[in-house]
Amino acid sequence: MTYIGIILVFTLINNVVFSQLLGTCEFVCEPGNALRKLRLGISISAVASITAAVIWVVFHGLLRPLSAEILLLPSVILVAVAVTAVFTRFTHLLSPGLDVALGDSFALMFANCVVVAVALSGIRSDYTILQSLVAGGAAGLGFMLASFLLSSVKERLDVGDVPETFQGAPIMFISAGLMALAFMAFDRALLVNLVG
Amino acid sequence: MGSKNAMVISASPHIYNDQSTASLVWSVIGCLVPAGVWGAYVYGFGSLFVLAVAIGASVMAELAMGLAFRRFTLADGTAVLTGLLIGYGMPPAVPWYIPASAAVFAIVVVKWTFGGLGSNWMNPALAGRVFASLSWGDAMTSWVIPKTLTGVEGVSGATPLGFIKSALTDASGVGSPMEILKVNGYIQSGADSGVTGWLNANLLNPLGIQLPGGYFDLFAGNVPGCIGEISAILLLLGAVYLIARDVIAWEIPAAYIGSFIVLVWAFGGMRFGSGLGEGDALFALFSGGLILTAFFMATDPVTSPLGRRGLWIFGIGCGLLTFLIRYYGSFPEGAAFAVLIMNIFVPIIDKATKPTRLSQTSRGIRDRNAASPDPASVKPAVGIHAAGTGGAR
Repeated sequence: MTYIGIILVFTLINNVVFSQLLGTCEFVCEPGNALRKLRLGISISAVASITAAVIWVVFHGLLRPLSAEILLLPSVILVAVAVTAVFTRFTHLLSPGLDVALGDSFALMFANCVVVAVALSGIRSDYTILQSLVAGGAAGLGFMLASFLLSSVKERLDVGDVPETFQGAPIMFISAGLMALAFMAFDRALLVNLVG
Repeated sequence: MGSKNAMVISASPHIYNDQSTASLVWSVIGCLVPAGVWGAYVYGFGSLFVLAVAIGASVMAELAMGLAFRRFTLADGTAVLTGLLIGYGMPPAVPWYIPASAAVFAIVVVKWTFGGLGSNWMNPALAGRVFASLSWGDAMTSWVIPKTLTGVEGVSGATPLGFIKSALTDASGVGSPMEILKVNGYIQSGADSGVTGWLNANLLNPLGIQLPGGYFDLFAGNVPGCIGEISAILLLLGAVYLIARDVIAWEIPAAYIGSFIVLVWAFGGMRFGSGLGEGDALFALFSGGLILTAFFMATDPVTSPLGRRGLWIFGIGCGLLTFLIRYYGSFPEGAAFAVLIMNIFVPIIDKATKPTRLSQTSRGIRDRNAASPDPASVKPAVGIHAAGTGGAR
């Protein structure tokens, strides 16, 4: 698959939020401004890319020669946690305010969902190491797109008439679900016919 | 609730005139009726039942939610309109529970969880239709051939767009859309050959044009399809009336259909083995639900942008997405999806095209840009004007 194809798959077709329902904890529970979403998206891109590449090395260099493919999932989680820890330490040194700005869920969600999912699907789709890197970056882009769309809808809902029962997380889940419904139009056939 | 006329609920922009939401909505419903009557005539009595179920379920859901939230908006007609549009988007022989579920989904989930009329950001009727076609794919793609084509009721067959999509998918069909239909044994009516022959002999041949058969059937609605979307001519008549009365914004259908036709003409031919600028725009325009969607669904004031520039951006986005999905995606018809996707972008479009104070001219109330309120500070979609004594919500 071409790199453009991978980028389209992970931003539109297999969007982490709309088609895999990952990372929803972030925008549903945490309010935040555009800058914070941007930082988070870039961070996820970076961590997902690095994790996917490291996992590729671990899988093809270690697990497969040892016929220990069954250990893929635990190693993905270990690598994701390690990469996240190194990354947060690194960003803390570079810009001390950043991890405070990103909040508590920062480290937690990395190891939880988006990163693990991208690393796993990279292995399952037999990507090369470069393709895994691109996929990780594109997953972060897809997350950014979803959180951007949802926060713009949220701004409108905040001044709207949402009943008390549905305010906050419920209406964001419903909005995300409706967006997922519309995003069903972007499927693999569209991608294959467009970019081959 | 105070006295009967304590307040008037109206869609934005909040320009005062004597038209209430109810009168606008009922006039839209009125303009839609002829297309539905035609659908009921060519597909038989069963399609009336589908329409009745859709409207009935929609009204019941609206009533139930109005009871739950103590806000009664049944009289404004939007529930009837949503139900009618859902029914219009159904195949004629669909089982009753599909329009019913689609209507309940539209009213309860898409409209009322956001607070009812004016607060939803996605078009309920289109969301209900897409919900149904994703949930019951087979039933939502079993079509009936009009009795005006076969002479008997209830013969099933594929829609023109369905034929095109399957020809593209298994790569069997190379040739123009009309040639693909002909190869597949698609029927044309006697009226079509009569009208096409007359047009060719008296009007087009002197100009050096030869119109192939089949287009009049598409234009008149003598094709398999959804109940209310087939008759382009009847829908266009209604739309012209609504635009003349300023009920729907002409910018959206103009931008939507204009950009779609240009794209189809320029690039549409390439999917069928011909070159640039050889796409069959006429076929694309009158097949599927493009006319119904562009004039009656995309123009929903609640889920379309406020400013005039925003309307153009919205329409062009719809045209581009419809083209991409129809010609490259796996769904035969992309209009519903295209509008739903552009609904997501409406808040962003409104923000990006927010007018500055300087652009506020005295061009009058028809100037949507000047009149549109700042989306960030004003309730964006619906205004409740206190006309008379102030009523509590």
